[in-house]
Amino acid sequence: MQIVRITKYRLHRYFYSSRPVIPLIASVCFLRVMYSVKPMNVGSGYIFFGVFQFILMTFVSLSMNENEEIVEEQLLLLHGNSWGAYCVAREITLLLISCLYGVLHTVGPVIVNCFNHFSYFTRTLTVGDVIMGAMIILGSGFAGIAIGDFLHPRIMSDRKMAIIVVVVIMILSIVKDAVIEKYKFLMCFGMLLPSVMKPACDLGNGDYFDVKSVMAFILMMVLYYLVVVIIKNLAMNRKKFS
Amino acid sequence: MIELKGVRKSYNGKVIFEDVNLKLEDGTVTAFVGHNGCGKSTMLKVVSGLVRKDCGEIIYDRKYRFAYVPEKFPAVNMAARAYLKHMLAIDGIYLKMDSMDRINALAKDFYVESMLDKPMKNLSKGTLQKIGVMQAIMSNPEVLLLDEPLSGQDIDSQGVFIEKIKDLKRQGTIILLSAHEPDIINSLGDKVYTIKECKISRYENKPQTKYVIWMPEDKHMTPTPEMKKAENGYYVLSDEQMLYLEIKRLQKEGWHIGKVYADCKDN
Repeated sequence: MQIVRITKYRLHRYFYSSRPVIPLIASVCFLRVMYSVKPMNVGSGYIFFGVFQFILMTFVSLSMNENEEIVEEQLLLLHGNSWGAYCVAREITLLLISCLYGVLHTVGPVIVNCFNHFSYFTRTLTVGDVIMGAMIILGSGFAGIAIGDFLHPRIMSDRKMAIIVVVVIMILSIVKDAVIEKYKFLMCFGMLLPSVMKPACDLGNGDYFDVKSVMAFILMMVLYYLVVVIIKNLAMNRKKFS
Repeated sequence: MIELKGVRKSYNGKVIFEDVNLKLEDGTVTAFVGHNGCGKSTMLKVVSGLVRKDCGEIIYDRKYRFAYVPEKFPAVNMAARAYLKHMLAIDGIYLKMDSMDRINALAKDFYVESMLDKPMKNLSKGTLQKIGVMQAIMSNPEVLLLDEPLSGQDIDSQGVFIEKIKDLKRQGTIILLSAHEPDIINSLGDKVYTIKECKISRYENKPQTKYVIWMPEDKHMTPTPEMKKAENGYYVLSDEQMLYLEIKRLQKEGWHIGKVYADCKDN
């Protein structure tokens, strides 16, 4: 219950601030631009939104930890009386925010399709496509949170450097598959970054999602997220508020 | 009880304090005094576990519920009432009516009833500090950390604050206080320590001048047990720091203050 209450407080803090404005405007603009060209491939449409979700959640996580007030966090931790509940609630808040933007990015194409008499895409949009698309968007959100929140101010106090590093990691994650294809020796470094472009590679020139590869993608992203979150929370717990 | 054994803390290689051995017993107020940056606030945070110690041991005889009044309470982007409700819920006091009653009662005591529904970023420093005190004491914590709790607060609220802390002390709360104001230290501190050259030591209070507040006899007023009979009236003894509060309290009760003078024979 403690986790639920702390999460409720964090969500209240987020949604009653001006912080959701930029991601929301960015999402609406992206939807508008993406779906201004007709007709569109179902698969590539959702893959674009997956990459956008990754970038958006990196930005959201980074801006959230950037604006964290140390004293407020200390008070929250003491009221919660549990380091574990405090850490889990922090992660759940980010995941819920990611899910909300994810819903917008998943349902957006469906609404656009409805307004265009179900003929917006090159083929019929099925429920299966929407579910697969949601999986890709959700998985990309996991990766975005992992990267955006990793260099928390309690882990890296030099904020200018932290922001630069996060942006570089974000860009490298997007281009890594193409770079590794050209320079095979970079493969081991590539393991450190999330494969956000994997669904695009799997889809190739096709327009139908392969259930197995989408499941493999989301599993990879969840694993990546869990490993990064565990490392981050251990580092934060080690440093506490020193 | 919380026991500190050989605790040491340093920042970037600079030792803040070392070899700290303290016993913090239930129902006592341990105060820390000293110049700015001597490590008083760090001591409070080390005890609560917010800041990691370098070495030594902190033994808690049970799992304590901590509350903390920070030196500067942050202006969170929500109304004070909403913030306090959230904190009460996180503390586990989630019954709607109970939490509302507690918040309203405390707000009345601290004269901030009309401020509760305003966004906290629009509140003055003193009012924010009162909200900081309220969030800490509203759920009757087992350990209360007070880091310069009176900064910016009006004199009436300081009196209310001291009374509330005394109530918590009677309930067995362990209270750690970091402050500069001698009046709060004198009226609350059971044990007073200072941190000098990284070492903690007992702080010796200079003898305080006592003041006599003399009130002429009044047919309509009934003297309280603390009042002593004097020629044509009654008198009350007070410390220099509490003098103003004491006079205000007596006037509020309806007494007319005849004269106030230093009690030389007590020193």
